[in-house]
Amino acid sequence: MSAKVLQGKVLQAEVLQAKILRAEGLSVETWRTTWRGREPVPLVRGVDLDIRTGEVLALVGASGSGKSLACAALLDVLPPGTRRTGGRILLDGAQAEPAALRGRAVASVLQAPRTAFNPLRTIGGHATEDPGKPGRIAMAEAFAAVGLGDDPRVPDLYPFQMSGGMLQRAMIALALMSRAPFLVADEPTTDLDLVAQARILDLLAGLVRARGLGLLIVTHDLGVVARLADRVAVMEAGRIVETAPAASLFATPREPATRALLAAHRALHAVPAAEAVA
Amino acid sequence: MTPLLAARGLGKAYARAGWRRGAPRTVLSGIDLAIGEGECVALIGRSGSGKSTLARLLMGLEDPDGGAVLFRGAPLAGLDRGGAKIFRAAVQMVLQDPLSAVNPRHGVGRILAEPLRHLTDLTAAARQARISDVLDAVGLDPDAADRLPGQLSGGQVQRIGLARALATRPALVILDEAVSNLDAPRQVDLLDRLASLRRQDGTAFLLITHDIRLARRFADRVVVLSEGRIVDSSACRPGLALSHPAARELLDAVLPAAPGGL
Repeated sequence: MSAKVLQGKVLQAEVLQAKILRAEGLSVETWRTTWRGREPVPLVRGVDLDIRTGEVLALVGASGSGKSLACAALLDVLPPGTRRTGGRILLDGAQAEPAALRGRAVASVLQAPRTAFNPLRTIGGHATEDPGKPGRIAMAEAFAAVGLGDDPRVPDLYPFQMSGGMLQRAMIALALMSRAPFLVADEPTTDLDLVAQARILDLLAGLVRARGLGLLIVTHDLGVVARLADRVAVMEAGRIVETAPAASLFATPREPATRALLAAHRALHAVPAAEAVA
Repeated sequence: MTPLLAARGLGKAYARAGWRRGAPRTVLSGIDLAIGEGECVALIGRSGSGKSTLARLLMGLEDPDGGAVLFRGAPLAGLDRGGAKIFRAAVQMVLQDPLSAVNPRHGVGRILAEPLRHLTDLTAAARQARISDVLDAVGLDPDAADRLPGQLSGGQVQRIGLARALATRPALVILDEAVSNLDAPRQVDLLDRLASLRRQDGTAFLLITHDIRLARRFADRVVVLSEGRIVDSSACRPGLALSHPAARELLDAVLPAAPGGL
């Protein structure tokens, strides 16, 4: 098969119409130095992900299972000290360079909103490098879509003047302005309180419905999965051990890793029997 | 009975930053809270409701602008050197971000020995024994004492913070969002360990969290903080009875246990 390779200057229209973003066999490793020399340490092993527009795919797993690294490999933003050793990214079946897709086909929302912004620039300054009228209109639209449109002062605020929930909304607004059909959200609500978390999840669910976004959400909280996800991929020790529709994953988990996550999740939700504590 | 630690009409305001100082911003006002010996209280509220400020005042890390904190009936402000040492050994705290709460250049053993050296009169050998004990109590290998914090995972470092808090056999441990950042299996594991410590030693806990699920699972009593005031409180068993809008908001924000309300 002669796959058309998208790289560098891609046809923007083609990218915006894409329906399926597929990652095949993503592998990431780091290395440790021993007396024999460098030894590779695999961190992500052959991960396949299918993100479809209009659908929410959740990537879950315990801390350290490789969820965030798999996402970073998909976006080609691996941290220093790690490298991608395998895998390819396909956009509607055509092989693509991850760096060419980032910001065009795939936008991302990160975990800690406070560190994702330049503290010396206003939110409006982040949203538009070109202060012309088209930029301002696009910004106003995106801010309205995430619920920041009511307050005209928002674009003039600096990140330290905003709450974590507002910053996370602003980050989603910036992601929307790219008009990318796919959104990768790595633990988008972990740093927020429960009330702000519920609102951000409502917002993401609404955007998926209204705009037909394809959302990949990375989380360790099965509550987030229950609220939002259509399909779930469970990671353990760098591998995807189970992929299933959300409802069937909760009803009939197959793998021990999934069962362990579900057991802890249910233990948190259940009120324990009144323990006799003297 | 005198409560272990009590707040009487506690208030705190911070000055506004900038060259044109406005009126100070009130963060806490009129806080009355008592924690009995061996009691487990959960303090819940949204971000910015004043939870962490209250924790710092209760620990004596900052002075209140109004009211007083009483340790076994004695105001913190009036404690002499010896009294302050007893208070520090009796009330310990675990913070939210574990890595910033430990010195990255100190081995785990040294981190755990620090409160023992300053707050107890144990001999070196007795300190070593105590370190092994607390490592075991939080479910870590005794070999961990030789490691640096950077060589451990986030969940392990959080347990080091807990072990350090438990080292002096405190009467009260304040957990300021200390389990919020862990994943669900680790949260359940840690809360179960703390519950068994409570049964063994009768340690009291103040669990500060925005997650009502953790509060419900662990505490005897829930106190709701909103905009610097205590607005509601309820016993956890048989069931939470909270009616204030701020409390309802937190309850309603709990995510579903299963998709589609199964």
